[in-house]
Amino acid sequence: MNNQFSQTVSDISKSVMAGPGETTTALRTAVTRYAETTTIEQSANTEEIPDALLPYLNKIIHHAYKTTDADFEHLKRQGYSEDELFELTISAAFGAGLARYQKGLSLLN
Amino acid sequence: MRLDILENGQSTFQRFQMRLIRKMMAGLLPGPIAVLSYRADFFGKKFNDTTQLSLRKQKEWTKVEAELFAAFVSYNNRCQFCYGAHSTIVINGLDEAVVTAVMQDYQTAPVNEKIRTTLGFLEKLTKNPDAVTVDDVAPMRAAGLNETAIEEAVQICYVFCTINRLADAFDFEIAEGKGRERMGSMLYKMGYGIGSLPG
Repeated sequence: MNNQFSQTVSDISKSVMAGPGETTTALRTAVTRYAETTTIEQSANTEEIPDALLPYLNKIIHHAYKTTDADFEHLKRQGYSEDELFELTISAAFGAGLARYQKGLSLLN
Repeated sequence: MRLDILENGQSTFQRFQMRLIRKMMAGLLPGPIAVLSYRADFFGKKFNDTTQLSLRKQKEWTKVEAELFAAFVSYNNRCQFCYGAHSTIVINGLDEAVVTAVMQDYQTAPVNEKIRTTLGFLEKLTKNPDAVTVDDVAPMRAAGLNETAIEEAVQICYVFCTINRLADAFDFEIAEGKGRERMGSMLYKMGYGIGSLPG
């Protein structure tokens, strides 16, 4: 296994889920894990994710090309700041990428 | 860009660098630079490192092959920004007709079996990762690929399944014409070292 690459991915995981930010580490962890799990298993725990956020997260995870200005305007009206949306979007996108990385590595000898 | 915070970076030094880039790019600030530079310790700096590792520091694939895979994953994610950027980069080293043929039908495109079997694997890992099994890597091994080559393809899939989503979520502006060609040529030659600006 390429250690430098996997170490860097591990560093990103720590920073995205447990590093300093405007959103709580609990929410970022829940969003990243949700993106990972729902990518592979089609169902996942959503208990710690606010209902207002889920449709947006699902869009990012499953068909991000459908995202519109209205999605962001809606979330801003719900009280999410730009920094919070920056963090949560990265958490979801990274989780979707990470799911594929881990699934791919699991197939190697 | 859907977030104003991404337009000008965080520090005076980043703002200065972004002004220079806009001047060079006829007013355009490439979306990846904006996202990977803002609060770079949160995500961008390390993510940019994985981009450079997967597309320029790989051992088993050439730069052209790695860029072709990047364009292909982006095409399958329907990410116009990344597909446009990486298909423009790859034509610096590969006939454009081959790139088009790969996107239209990789099974009949004029590429070798190592590339063809990897494209099949990448398509499934990108679009249906839940259904991927060990059987899906068997054709790659049968074509002569070793474990490192397969791992490097997985790395590209991870990088682009992440950045494609950020490009579409944040609405990266798509460069056209000469600006796009200039950026493609520059990234082909220089790689991704400046993706996350210091400061």
